Amino acid sequence: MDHLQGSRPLRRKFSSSLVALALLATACSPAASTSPSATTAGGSGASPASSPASSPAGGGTGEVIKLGMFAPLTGPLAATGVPARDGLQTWVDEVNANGGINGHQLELIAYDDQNNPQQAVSAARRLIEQDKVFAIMCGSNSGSTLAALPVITQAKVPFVTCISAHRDLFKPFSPYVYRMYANEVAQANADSDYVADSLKAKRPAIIYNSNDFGVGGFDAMTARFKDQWNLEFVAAEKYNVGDQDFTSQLLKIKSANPDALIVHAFAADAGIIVRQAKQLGLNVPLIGGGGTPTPLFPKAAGDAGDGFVAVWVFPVLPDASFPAVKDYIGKLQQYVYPSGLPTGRPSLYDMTGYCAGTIIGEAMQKAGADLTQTSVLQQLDSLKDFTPGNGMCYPVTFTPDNHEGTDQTTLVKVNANQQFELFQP
Amino acid sequence: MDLFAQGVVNGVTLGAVYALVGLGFVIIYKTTRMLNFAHGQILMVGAVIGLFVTTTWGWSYWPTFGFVVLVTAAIGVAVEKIGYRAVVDAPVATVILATAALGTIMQSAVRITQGQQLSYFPPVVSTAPIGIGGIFVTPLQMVIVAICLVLVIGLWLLFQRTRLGLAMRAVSENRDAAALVGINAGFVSSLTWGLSGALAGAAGLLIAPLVLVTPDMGVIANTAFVGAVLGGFSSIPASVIGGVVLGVVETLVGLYLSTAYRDVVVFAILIAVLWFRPSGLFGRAAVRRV
Repeated sequence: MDHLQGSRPLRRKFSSSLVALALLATACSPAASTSPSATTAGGSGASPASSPASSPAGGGTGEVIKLGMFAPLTGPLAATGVPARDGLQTWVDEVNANGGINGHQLELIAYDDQNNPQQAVSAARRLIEQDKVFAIMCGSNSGSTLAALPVITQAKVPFVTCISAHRDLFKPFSPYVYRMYANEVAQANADSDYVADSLKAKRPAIIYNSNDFGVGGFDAMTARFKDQWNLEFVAAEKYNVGDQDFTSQLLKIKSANPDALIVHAFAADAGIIVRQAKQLGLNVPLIGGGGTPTPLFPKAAGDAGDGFVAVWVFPVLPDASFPAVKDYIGKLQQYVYPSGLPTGRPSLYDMTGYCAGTIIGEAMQKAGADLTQTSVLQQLDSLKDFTPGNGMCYPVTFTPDNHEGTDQTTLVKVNANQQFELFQP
Repeated sequence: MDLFAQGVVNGVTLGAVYALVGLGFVIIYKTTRMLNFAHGQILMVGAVIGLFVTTTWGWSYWPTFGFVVLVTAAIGVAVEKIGYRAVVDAPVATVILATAALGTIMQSAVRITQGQQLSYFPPVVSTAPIGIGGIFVTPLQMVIVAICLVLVIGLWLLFQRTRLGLAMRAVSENRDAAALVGINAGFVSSLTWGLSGALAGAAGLLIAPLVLVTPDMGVIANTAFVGAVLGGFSSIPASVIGGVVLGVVETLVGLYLSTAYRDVVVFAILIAVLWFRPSGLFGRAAVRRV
């Protein structure tokens, strides 16, 4: 189904690149040919220092500011990229309908990286060198985002990420990259604290994915238990991507007699693990890592998922019972899906996409008439307690040397209707 | 000791699933000396159709079961017509590739139409564990093992004790000679592939509650194939024992060594068996009388 939906936005992408071509054509006319020098005029001495790729978008009012994006828009991981793209598109269309930012209309150019790091790198290059985008938004899953990072940093283009929660996003620190929700370490800490503090567990166990995501979470939790709570995992078992039988791991865990089990896995695997745990009579509280709280989990877990608690990085859930989300759904329908939302939407990536838009929008607004990449970076660096997406995301604060917008998290729990709801321990 | 016993019990269940899936390969091989590498995908399609029919149309379990088995039998016949019969005189590798290609098409078709819609398939019998002397067993596990046993005995009787089975064995021995004595070799071949497809559908529905219905769930057929080869590919009982042994070995290696080594151990055993007993651990060497 993702593929079918993917084809529609692809067509839109195509038509929007036609628009871009048309704009390019007009840009070549004498009236607009002054743009490279004219735009830096407002920014005075600041801009020339940056690389040629930094294309300030100031200048005459009405000039279109391009925002670029690369993410998986087809394939298995389109479930992250497509909603993020739609969230951003909704925000762009909304801004444009309200007269743009300081008189500038916005345009979103989104490329499909198919979750492939090499494609992500070439998409980032294309956005920077060919499309000359003002900023890059969202980025892809961690592997692709990390691969494209050097290209973006070198070009000194502002980059507001909205998908990757990877611990190494700021190793080394890049002054051009911003993150808007709690990273995987913050999520792991929240999980560990819940287990040790609220559940009062003394013998925690964990089953985790042997890939980078799983090991990262496991390391972070191990450290948190040791440093903060003086606890150790009584059993820690790995599994491989694609495994469908977790009996061996769960039996080993069971024989270690734990009093809580953390399932640090993707939602589908976690669903099977939770079911098999119950079938083996492993009746301890089950807690999920950051990859578990998606609507997929209750579907995969069935009855066995009841009462499952997981860490969650937003103040709301992606459903219409929250006013901010309801408001967003209306706009998403109006601008992107006039004939009805696809199933499973909005998802959490709708929220991150839209929130990321409002963050760069706030910085651009504050930059005022002096709208250059440099001024927007300065504004981002001084953003304090800004609430993105009308409250769909936690407030973010950036400083020149800390671009982790927030480490705030909450918890969610599967209720009797087999849906996640916000949960206070 | 409890841990060991529990490991064996769960290993046997896992092995019964391998055996059930492996049987689909074996009966095709026994009759047509061919391998159907679309088997796992037929299983997956069966589970996907079953999920659709129960959740969207609201059918109850047994009508669903019958419907799925009919559809997958038809798919089995279709795979035979397109992937095997159309290229019957081609080398084995060609047929394997043709069937694998058909499997890939099925997988992509499901992915395009259903997306990555994953779901849990509610089981027909309970999955609540029952404790027996410290060992936990679910009714679903018992049903799977029982159905596996019934199918093994039924298929063995079919091959050894019926005229149809005789025809199947004759076709496998010498297709042309079988045709000469009046056996409709084409019909027997289609029937076997259809039967294998039906088995795949049944297996898909049985194991769906244990795992997840996804476009990728057909991968279980790869392990099942290894199990059948391990036991002895040309014999129904031998291949089944092979599947069960594989399930137990996998679980115990995961339990006492490490799950990381599971595949290493399994494939090392497979290679050793292929060296020293090419006809499988429990299979008899095929004797071709000329």
